[in-house]
This record gives sequence, structure tokens and C-alpha cells, in this order.
Amino acid sequence: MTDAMSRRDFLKKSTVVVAGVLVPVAAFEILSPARVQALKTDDAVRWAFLVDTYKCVGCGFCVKACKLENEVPYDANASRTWVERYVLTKDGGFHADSPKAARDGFTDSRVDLNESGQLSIKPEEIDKAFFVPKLCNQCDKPPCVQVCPVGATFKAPDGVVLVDRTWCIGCGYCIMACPYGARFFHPVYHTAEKCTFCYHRITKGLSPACVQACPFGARQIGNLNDPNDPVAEAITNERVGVLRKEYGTRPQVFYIGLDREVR
Amino acid sequence: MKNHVLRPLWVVLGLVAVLLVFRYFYVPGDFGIHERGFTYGLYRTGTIEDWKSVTVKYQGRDSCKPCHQDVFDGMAKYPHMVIQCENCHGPALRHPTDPPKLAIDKTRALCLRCHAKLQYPTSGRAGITGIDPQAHNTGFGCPKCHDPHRPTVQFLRYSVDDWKKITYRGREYCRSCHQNRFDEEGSYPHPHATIQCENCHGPAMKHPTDPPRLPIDTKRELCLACHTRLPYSSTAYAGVKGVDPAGHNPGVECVNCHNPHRSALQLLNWTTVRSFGGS
Amino acid sequence: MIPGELWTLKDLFVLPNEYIYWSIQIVMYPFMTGLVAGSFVLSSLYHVFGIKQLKGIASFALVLCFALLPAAMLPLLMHLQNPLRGINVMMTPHFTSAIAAFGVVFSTYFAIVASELWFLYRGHFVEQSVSLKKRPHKTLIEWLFYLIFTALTLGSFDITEPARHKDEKAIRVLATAGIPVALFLHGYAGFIFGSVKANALWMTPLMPVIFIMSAVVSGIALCMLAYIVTMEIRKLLVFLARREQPQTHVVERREEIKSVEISVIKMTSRYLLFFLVFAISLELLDLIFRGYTGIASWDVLSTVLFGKDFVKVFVLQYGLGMFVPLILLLIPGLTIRRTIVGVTLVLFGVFMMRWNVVIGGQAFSLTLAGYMEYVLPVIPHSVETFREGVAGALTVLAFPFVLFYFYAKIFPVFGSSESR
Repeated sequence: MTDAMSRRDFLKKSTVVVAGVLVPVAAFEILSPARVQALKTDDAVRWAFLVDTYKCVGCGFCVKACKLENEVPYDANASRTWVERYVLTKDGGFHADSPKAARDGFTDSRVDLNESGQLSIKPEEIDKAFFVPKLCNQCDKPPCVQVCPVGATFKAPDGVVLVDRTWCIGCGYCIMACPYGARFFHPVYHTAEKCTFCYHRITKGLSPACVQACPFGARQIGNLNDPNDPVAEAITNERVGVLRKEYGTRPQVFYIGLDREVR
Repeated sequence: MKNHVLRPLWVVLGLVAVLLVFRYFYVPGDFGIHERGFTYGLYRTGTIEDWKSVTVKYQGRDSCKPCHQDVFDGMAKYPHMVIQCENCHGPALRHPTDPPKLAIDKTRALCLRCHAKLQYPTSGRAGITGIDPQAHNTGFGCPKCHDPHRPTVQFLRYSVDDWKKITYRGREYCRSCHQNRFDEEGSYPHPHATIQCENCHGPAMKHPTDPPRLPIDTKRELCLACHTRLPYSSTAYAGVKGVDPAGHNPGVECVNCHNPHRSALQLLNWTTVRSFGGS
Repeated sequence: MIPGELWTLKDLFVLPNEYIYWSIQIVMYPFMTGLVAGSFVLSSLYHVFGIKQLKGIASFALVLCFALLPAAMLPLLMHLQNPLRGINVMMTPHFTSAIAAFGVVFSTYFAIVASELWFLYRGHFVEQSVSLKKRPHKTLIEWLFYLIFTALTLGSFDITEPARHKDEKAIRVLATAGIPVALFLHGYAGFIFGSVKANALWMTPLMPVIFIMSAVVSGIALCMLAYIVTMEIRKLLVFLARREQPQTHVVERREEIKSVEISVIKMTSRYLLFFLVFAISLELLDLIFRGYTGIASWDVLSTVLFGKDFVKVFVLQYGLGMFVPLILLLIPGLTIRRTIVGVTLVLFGVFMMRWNVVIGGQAFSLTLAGYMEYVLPVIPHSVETFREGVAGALTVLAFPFVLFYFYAKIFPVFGSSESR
């Protein structure tokens, strides 16, 4: 009987124990779905991009501007953005190229087939031919971010997918995971590189270098959260397409005039 | 005997502890799970500032207007009005402080981006007037005849008749007497080999009868038109090597050291270079 | 130059940023981890399931596994654009990525194998430590070994029967626990590829299973090969000893070694055959399904598989690497010579499988209208061509055997000192 604790002692000790346990438990928060919804930052900006392939003439000023603005070496055989040329012939033929990512535009009517040489196509054989500018789609469910083993690439609150150059280990998994071929290894920094919608410009109220450079307005950037934004209006009210919808990446680059043959 | 079975476990736990201590110091403090959760939001917040602080290079045409209003007014009604100045002249950066002058690209490659004729149905390209690059005055820079700011026919520097009168002969005409220059170029694969002699020397017309001598333009402006280097990229666009005009022997004519017919660096006139204090 | 540009030849319509970024070292990595997983499973067949005939090869397999582990990390270090940041995978693992599993799985596996080896060789460490301690004048090497063995005892010198019994129990626990970890170690490598929806060749749920099966196959084959080599060395040593002192009683006779050897090999080859059949079935299943369903990517895939890579896939991988060894090992009256040919072909076949997955998956463009050819750098005339070329691959291949040589001085794998 002498060893048993008195009721008072028991209550005292229990209080201490419970209080002690509550200290670390307080670090956790039981979140309700409603609270989670409220926690989600309702940002002012959700960036989206609109490409009008009818307007693109393949001049390549966008690619040149992007390279100089974003310090991707001009002579390097990769680019954050590029333009593809599609030439579809009357006999059902499919020919496409993107010589040097269209850095110097398309000045040769011959289609560049790399190892297979240059293909001449007579103008009268052409059914339709057009240019498709491409860049990182800043997907809402980016497979590249999902596969980064170290958390070096991520989706910023305003929707742009960025790469932390100080943390990227250069494994290349994100490059393999991108269905659009938007990523590559930067030859100087040796980290993964891709279009950032010119983050340093759009966050200052400027437009991306490629959007500014395009003389024909084939490229536009806008804010989906702004109801008065012309790009947001176009995406909502006009018929637009996206690339590789079946992959479930939810790309934020929308295309006007996307042909069935576009890859 | 104490149970030795758990010894390896203590070793492993010890190593894990060491790793965690190392991690505390190695991983930056702002690294963590941010908006968009673990899948899409694991990152170091500092990197957003890193990306925001990249230097803006292209300033946009509105920043050119204050000083170059005359060019704007001249261009106003003509098709090239839609083109950004910096598309052809390169990014302004902190012009006129740095760089003091922007390059004036007179190469054909620049204009051919839009004006190499491509008959592409359904594309905007089909609507742009163009030429066959292999047939139309090969070897000459387009600005020889066309005003890039007012590209319509009325501003051609030469009418078709004038052009015929002026008689640009083309390089092959020069070869018969000046083979030595061709040989000079020939031994050193040199970009100038594709430039028409008359681009720099003016139209041959009926040379050597009339005119007996063609002008030899030694002014810096002629060379700097293509060879002005922009400060943040190692080559000017189109891969042409360049110099900083303010830094590279200002006031001295290029031909003092460089032979325009030969590749630049191999055949610098070293005597002259040294007299300038160069090495 | 963009990393990857050096060894990529593009044909037809390929996107500007596409190159063969994952080259020979990414082929080597799953090959090496496959050997790791397979050799562990083989060792566990004795320790867990008590298959007595595999006793001779069990310790050998475990030590080889331990030598292969650091060697398996080498291709990754050589591939990374920033190898000094490689530790980031353990510092901030993003577990939605299969590659992030690397840090945890590898460490766990390392701990398990190291611990199991400790229990297996603890007796030997204690014996060596005690006997070296007794020696009055030690040479420098002996001092070194004394320190190593004493440290390795982790302070427990009890080698009485109850203590050894505890060791055996611990080995069984670890060997059992290690099997799923070994499978995970290689399964995750298969998951790395199988989960990439962007790649038409890689994307399949079968990929982790295919990888595991061929990993086990390669591990068993390597152990069989290494076992045969060591047995031949032992026979040679006996032969030489006999020649010098014909009267001396030698612990083992060549005939004894031979008979033990062939029975172990026969036993092990049955397991090899089982997993080989499984591996072949899975590969064929994947191929047949793709051909049957014929989705948009099938056009370019079939051009790669049946055209450009036909020899690599059907002649080298399936033919020489799977069907020929299957027949060789099935024919009754298995000899050592036939086994050597068979298992070498198996190892070659597994390597070709890794090659055909990694390189084959990059042989066609995302456009499905272009191709890329991989030109493996042979002469290392720069850091990049060394790292991602033949020289780098050979370094990775040789490394575990160099390690094994040093390990064998601490963990004896053959000879009469194997005291169990």
C-alpha cells in the first residue's frame, strides 16, 4: 500500500506527462480540407502563353532574342525556345525540321533532315506548310518536377517552373521526363535548363524577350487570373489547342491553328 | 555476455546521426515544402530571387524613341514598323552608356529570315514579299540598295535603271586583274571571302577605264558595322567576331593592324600593334 | 557543346534539345545493381532456405555483393553533371522521384549486407585479432591487420557456441529481410524507366518486373562464373602443391573439389534457368502487347526494334543472351565448360537488355518522326569521353574485382580457413 501512488500524486504526474507530450504534438496541426483550401495562396498571377501559328513566319527573331536575353550561348545547339517548320505535301508526305532551333530563321526552302541531308520540295507539291513556335509549357502537373530526385526544379506560386542552379545535380531525369523536349543541359552551368517565361522580365511587368521580339504577334503572354487579360479571354472564348493532352500534364501554353501533324 | 547482436545496429544509427548533423549544416535554411505541396513545391525559396535578379537585356522600342525619334518618324508608315529595333540592332542593355553603339548588321542573313521567299499555303510567311537568296544579287548586303527602315520600293537607293547604269560587276569581274587578292583570301578561309569586293570598294562600273581607281574606305565605321561586339555574349549575332569600339584602339583605323582581305588575328601588322603598346 | 551532343547523330525530324543524355553509364548502373541484387539473392538461398549445396557459394556471393555495391555507385558519379552535389539525393530526397529512392534503399541495403557479413565473419575477426595480438613483434602490415580485425570485432569477442548461434539467427533474419530490399533495389531502377510516360519504349508497368528478373538472372550467372573461376584457382593451387611435395597430405584433393563444384553448379543452374524463363516470358509479353495494340508510337518503335536495332535486340539480346544459354543449360550432362559459355552469354544478354532499354529508348525522337544514333566514345581524349565512354564503362566493370581482391584478405572466401 505504501508503494502505491496517492491519487493526488497520480493526478499531478499525469498532468505533467500530458503537458509534456502536448509540447511536440502542438507542432503538428490537424488540417481540415477547408483550412487547406484557405492556405492555398490565391496569387494575383497565373501565367499562360498563347501562340498563333497562323501569324508565325519563321523569322526566328524570338529564338535569337531568347538566347541573348537568357545567356544561352548563341552557338550552342540547344535553345529554350524554338520554331518548327512543317511541310505537308500533296502525296501525303510529312516533312519537318528545326535547323539550329530556327536561331537564324528559315532561309532555305530545303528541309533539313540532319543525317539524311537537305530535302528539296517543289512549291507546287506543297499542300500546306507552317511554323510552330514551341517553348516550355509550364505544365500545371509537370512530370519534370515530379521526377527531380533532389527538389532542384519546382513550380513557383505564379505557375512558372524553375530550376535551382545551385542545387541541380545534373542527373538528367527531368530532361528525359519532359514529353515536349523543352529541357536540356546548359553547356556552361551544367544544370538542367529550360524556358522560364523570362521570369526576370515578367515579374517586372515586362514581356518575355520572345514575345517582345515577335514582329507579328504570334506569341503572347497573359494572366489567367485577370478577367480583362486579352490572352485569358482568347483562351477561354476561342478554340485553342494544347500539345500532348493525353499525358495529363495540363500545359499552360495554348495554340491557335494546331494541325493534326504537329508533334 | 552482453547481447552483441545489436552492435551493427548501433553503428548504423551512429552513421545516420552523423548524416543528420551534416544535413543540418549543408541544406540551406529556406529549403522546404512550399506552396503546391511536396510533389511540385519542394525547393529553396532563395532561388526565386536569383531568377528575378537576372539582368534585363532587351529594353524594347519605347526606350529607343526618346533619342531616335527621327528614325521612328521615318519608319512610321512602313511595314518594318512592327519590327523591334533590337531585333536587328541587338539588345540595348544600358545603351548609350554600355554599349555606346549598337551593331548595325548589314549581312544578308538578317533580312533573309523573313524575305527568303517561301511559298507556304496557310502560313503568314506566304504573304511576305521575298527573293530567291541564290539568285538575287548574291554577295551584297541588302542595305546596299534597300533602306531597312523604309523598305518600300520608293526608297530603294538605286532604281533599276540606275542600278544598271552603276554596273556592279560582281567579284568575278575583279578576278582578271586582281587575282592576287583572291589568292590572299583563298589561302586563309576567311569570312570576307563571300563579301562582294564592291561592297567596300563601290561599284566597278567601267573600271579601270572609268573610274580609274575605286575608293578604299578605311574608316572604322565600315568595319564596325559588322564587328561591334556586344558586352555580354562572346560573339555578335550571326557568329561574327567583334570588338568593343570604345575599348579597342579608339580613333585608330582598323586597317592599321588588320588586313581586310585576310583573316584578322593571324596577320595583324605586329609592328604597328606593338607601337600602340599592344602585345 | 551540349552534354550528349558529342555522341549523338540525329536523323530526320528531331527536336533541337534532344540528345542521348543517358548513355553508357546509365546502362552500366542497372547492370551493376542487377549483379548486386542477384548475388544477394543467391547467398540468401542458402542462409534463408537452407539449400545445403549452395553453402560453398553463399559466402562468396555475399562478399562479391559487398564489392559490387560501391562499384554500383560509380556509374552514377561518373554520369552526373555535378557529381560533387550527388549527396543532395540523401540530403533533400524528393520521394516522388524514383531516383530519390536511391539514397534510402542503397543505404539500407548497404547496412544489411555489411551487418550480415559481420555476423558471418565475426568468428574469423575474433580469431585473427586474438592470434595477432599474441604475436610479439608485428610487422607494419600485421599491425594494420591487427587494427582492422580488432575494429571489426566491434568489441564483442565471445565466440562460444551460444554466441555463434545468435550470429546464425541474425544472419537468417538479415538474409530474409535483405531479399525484398534487394528486389526493391533493382525494382526501383526498373521503375525509373517504366514510369517515364514521355518515352514510348520505357513506359510500361512491366518494366520493374523485367528488371528484377533479369537482375536475378545476371546475379546468379555472375556468381556461378566467379565461383567456377575460384574453384579452378583452388584446383590449380592443389595441383602445384602436390607437384612440389607429392608425399604431403593435402587437405583437399582435386577430385573432391571437382565433385563439389559440379554439384553446386548443377543446383544453381536450375535456379538460373527458372528466372531466365521468367525473364524471357516478360520481355516477349511486353513486345507482343505493343505490337498488338499498335498505338501511335508503334510505327517508330517497330522501325527501331525490327530495323535499326534488330541485331542488338533479337540476335544479341534474345538469341545469344537468352535462348542459346537456355538450351546450353537444359541439355543434360552439364559440364563446367558448357556452364562457362552459358553464364557468360547470360551476362552478355543482360547487358544488352540494359543497353536496348536505355539507348533504345533514346534511339527515336519525341516527334516519333526522327531517330538518334548513339556513337559510343572509344578513345578517351577528354574528361567527357572518358566518363561516358568505353574507358569509363571498363573502369566500372573492373572496380568491384579490385575491391573483391582486398576484401578477400579480410573476408576469406575460399581455402580451408572457411571455418563453417
